[in-house]
Amino acid sequence: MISFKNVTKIYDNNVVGLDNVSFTIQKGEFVFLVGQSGAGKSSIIKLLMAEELPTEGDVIFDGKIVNKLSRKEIPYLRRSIGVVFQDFRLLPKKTVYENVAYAMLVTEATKRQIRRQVPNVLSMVGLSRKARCYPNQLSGGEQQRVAIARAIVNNPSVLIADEPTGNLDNETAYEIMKILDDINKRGTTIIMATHSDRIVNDMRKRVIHLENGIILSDEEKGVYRVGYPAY
Amino acid sequence: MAIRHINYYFKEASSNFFLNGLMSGASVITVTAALILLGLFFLIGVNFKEISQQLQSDCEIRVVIDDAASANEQRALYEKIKKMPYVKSASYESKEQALENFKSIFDLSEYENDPFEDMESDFLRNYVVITMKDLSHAEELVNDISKLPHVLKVINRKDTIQAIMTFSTILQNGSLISMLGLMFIAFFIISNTIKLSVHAREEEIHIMKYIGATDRFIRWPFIIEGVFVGLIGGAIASFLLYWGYMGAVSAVKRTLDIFNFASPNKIILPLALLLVGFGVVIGAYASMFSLRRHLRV
Repeated sequence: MISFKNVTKIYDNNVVGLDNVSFTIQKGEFVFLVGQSGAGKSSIIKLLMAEELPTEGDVIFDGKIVNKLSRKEIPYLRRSIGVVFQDFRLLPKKTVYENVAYAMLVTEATKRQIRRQVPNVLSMVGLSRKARCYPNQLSGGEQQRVAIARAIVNNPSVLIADEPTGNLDNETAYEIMKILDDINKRGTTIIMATHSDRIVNDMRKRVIHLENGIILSDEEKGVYRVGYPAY
Repeated sequence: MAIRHINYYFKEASSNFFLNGLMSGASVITVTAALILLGLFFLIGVNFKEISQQLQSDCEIRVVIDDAASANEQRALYEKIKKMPYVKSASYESKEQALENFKSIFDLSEYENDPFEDMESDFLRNYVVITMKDLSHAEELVNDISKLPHVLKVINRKDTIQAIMTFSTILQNGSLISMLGLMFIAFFIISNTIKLSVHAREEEIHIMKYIGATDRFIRWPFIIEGVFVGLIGGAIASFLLYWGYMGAVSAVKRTLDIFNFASPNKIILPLALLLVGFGVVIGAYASMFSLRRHLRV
């Protein structure tokens, strides 16, 4: 479903984001991307979202070469990939309902479809009662749940979560992980970048460990290995 | 623009306009100020044109008719002149009428007896008095009239005509150049203000991009918002200029009633069309222009 084929990313300031990285993620997998800051986790996410182009190699999603998509095709790629950020990135002047509905609106969904689907996903993340609240009226965990609801409202085949628990306390972080696990069990592929060894070690999912733009290890049911020797 | 989304675009634009009230207010004030300046030069230009036309129509050419010409020949000459190109109006002035006109120049109320009582009109001639449509053709017209039969002489104030023409050309060109310069400056001021407003919502635009919004879907509400800013700024500027212009014209007329200024009621429509039109186009274009960089995500 997702393939990185010999992908190298060198930024304008000559910083190497990824160095000849190759891996494949199958449909329905739950994959952790782990590593220090600057290891290459964000580069993988940006390349997958077509926010950046690889310097070399190809990024393939659902049979399409992402780096060869035209500008007009990129929004349609992003509609099949839900994204959740560490800082939630909700629209502050829209209510919880409107934030989630907005993701459907941009896909040109009808009002009827929006009215049916938004309450469903809000209920799935346990926020039905907060539909009329604005983001600043919610806790960090609730805001992240809104972000997850927004990311899954269009039934994407992949959900990318970039440090989704980074700003949350342990208890809330595990609530979020529970929601992500449930989504994964419904068949959605999850790719989650994280620094949290506790979460990675507890979940026992596939772990891709990155360091200085290269893959140190790629393990099924892996754990977060701190102080992995560099190649 | 996708028809099914028009409603959403307008709703989104108006809600953004009010939600970002401070920036919207700043944009409207900047647009209004820039358009007032532009409108001011428009008013100056229009009035220069009006005054120069007035000066041109006040500048008469007098055709002196030979006394030897019969009444019919004089009438024929008058009719011929009236139909000549560049002639705006022509009137026949007999010797007697010319004398009366001459007398009317003086204030005779202080005199017991008319000092011109014994004056005969013999020293005067019959004339055709002409005003021109366009003084720049005065020399050509004078030459043509001079060649007509029974014309003794054509009196025209060549220097005055020349001075009026030069003055009028300088003023009109000056106000046109100033207006073009101001349009250029107004464009930069307005687009920079709108750029600031767009920049303040950079994060919002990025979020829209991440969740799969097309450029068109993001752009239209911003363009409509820019149109709102231009429309409101243009309307306020038109109203303030109209109101100020009416006051200024009546004040000047009270103290110095020698020129006919362009009528406020006649001028309001072209003024409003210019300011609102310019405001709307610049507002829309500036929004589109400012968004470009932010859409590359």
